[in-house]
Amino acid sequence: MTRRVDTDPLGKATAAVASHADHASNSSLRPALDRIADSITSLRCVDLAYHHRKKPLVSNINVDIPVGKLTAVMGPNGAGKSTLLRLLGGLLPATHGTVMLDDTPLNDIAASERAKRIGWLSQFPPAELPLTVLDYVLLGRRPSLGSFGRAGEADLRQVAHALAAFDVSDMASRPWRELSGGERQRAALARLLAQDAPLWLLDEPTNHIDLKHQALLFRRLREEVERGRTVVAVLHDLGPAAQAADHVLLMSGGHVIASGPPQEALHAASLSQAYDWPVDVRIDGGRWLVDVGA
Amino acid sequence: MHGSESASAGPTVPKHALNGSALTRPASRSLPIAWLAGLAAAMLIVWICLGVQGDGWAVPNWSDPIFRGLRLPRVLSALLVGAALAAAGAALQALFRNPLADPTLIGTSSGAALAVVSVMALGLSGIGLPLAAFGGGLLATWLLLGLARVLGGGDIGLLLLGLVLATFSGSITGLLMFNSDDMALRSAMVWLSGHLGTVGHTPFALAAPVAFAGIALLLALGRDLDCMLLGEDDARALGVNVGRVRVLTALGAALAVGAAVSIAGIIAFVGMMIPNACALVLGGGRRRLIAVSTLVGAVFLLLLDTLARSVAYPLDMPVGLLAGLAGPVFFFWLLRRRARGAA
Repeated sequence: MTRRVDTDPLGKATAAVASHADHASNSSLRPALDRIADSITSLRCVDLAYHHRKKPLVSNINVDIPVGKLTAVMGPNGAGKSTLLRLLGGLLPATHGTVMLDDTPLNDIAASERAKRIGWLSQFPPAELPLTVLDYVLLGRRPSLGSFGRAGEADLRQVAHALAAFDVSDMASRPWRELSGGERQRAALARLLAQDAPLWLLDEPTNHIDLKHQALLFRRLREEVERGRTVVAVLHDLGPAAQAADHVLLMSGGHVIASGPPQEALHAASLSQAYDWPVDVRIDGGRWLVDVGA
Repeated sequence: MHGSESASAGPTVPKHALNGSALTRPASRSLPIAWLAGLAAAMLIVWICLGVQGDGWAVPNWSDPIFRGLRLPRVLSALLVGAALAAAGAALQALFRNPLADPTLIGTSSGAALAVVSVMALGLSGIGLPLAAFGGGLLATWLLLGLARVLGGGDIGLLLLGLVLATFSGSITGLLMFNSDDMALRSAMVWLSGHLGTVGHTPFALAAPVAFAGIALLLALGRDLDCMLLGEDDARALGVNVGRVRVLTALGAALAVGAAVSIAGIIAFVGMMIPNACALVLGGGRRRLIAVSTLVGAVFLLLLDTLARSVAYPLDMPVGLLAGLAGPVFFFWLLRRRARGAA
């Protein structure tokens, strides 16, 4: 189950985390990833709907999102994926229904508490930011530091770990504006890791990221899930998403039209309906192959 | 790659990761020393400026009634106004996510000035002036934020709206002054153009607490303003109450700018120049930028005012005019830097 990753830059950090955990527990032969503290216990949408100027963007959402799993939200443009994700994060007020986090309506959780439970990654990191990468990633500690707390050594250590995990350590002192799109995205992911919330909501985390770092990102997400984090990610690329995800929400026209493990939720019929285009998928030697007839 | 070291480190910070480069927070350890040095330099400049008089320089003579009654309040006012404008600028630039934002450009100053002129037209004075300035500045800033919400238009729309509001309140101010008799007009003109020569002890004493309250509020908002720079969703996800930060930043800026306008009229560009210049050499968060801008802004305006009263002696120029002359050059430079994607 646990991958041993010793050969690549991202793996180093994880391997180190694992050996650190080993050292602490001194129990298993196989390196186990240390579990995150207080993972979430449930995440549920009940009759969820959001209307913008009387037009429903999403409606009738009744889904249980499995905890400690990687859930991919998929569907065509305008299907309501980002809206659903923002509702899950409490960034939009639901027009109807509620999001229940740990059996508590999201609205009843104070903003400061919510920030400790839910980490959010925007679709577009800001283009312009008068901060260095380090200062930017440090903002991830804001939920635990509050408005006035001073970052201590533990915070800086966490930030250092986050920077290394997404391969941006050597950019720490560079100004934000000098970073490329992909580097910004990775810095944003590092900020998320520094925030260390047990639930991650990611809006197209693979945006702008090159091949290598996409692969590393998916590996990192798998590792975080194994550590007990719950990850919900809007993903566009069918193949890699189906490959990496434990669970899929397929959306179309503001509704969830299929929900379940990728093998069950993603098939020619559901995908063709969602995308309004003939799509065929098959699994070949454990790899997902997508055919859109182009 | 520091990954393995930093992750497996025990209770101490790994030397490799924290030493020298990446993770030493710039100047965080030498901060008190830097601040002390900065403060000492500022005091020296203040002392020198205190001694500048029409025909040269003399050791400040504290028993001289002219010195105490005229120059001292003028120097103190210059410091206060510079500090307030620079602090407000640094905060507003984060709130509007635009380094070109300036209390004058977005209408805070003009709103404050309009309120002061209106109150003057009604024949009021004393504490009424800084209060009116504060109210006018606040109203203008909130109106801008509200209009931007209703009309949309993004960051550029916001700045343009501010410009429109500033011009509009400037027109009403002009109308009020046009309708008043000549003497009142002349004194209001001098005040509006940013003159510190006529400030006495009383206006300064009335404005100072208002400005300090505003600067303190803006400093308190520092980290939340950093989060606001990331965009609304991200700020919210980090636990920031976005609406409250908006309202409070406008409040703090209006307090600071209102105080400044009530004693010195409209002094443009200081709020834009100082924070941007400081940001060039300063890392770290908005709170530090606001703090340093406050200090640098104070000293900068004092130097400018000292220049204004001595460069063409016995002509005593409004410092606002001098700032207005220097501003565009800086503005062009900043705009060019931004256009090249460097700012």
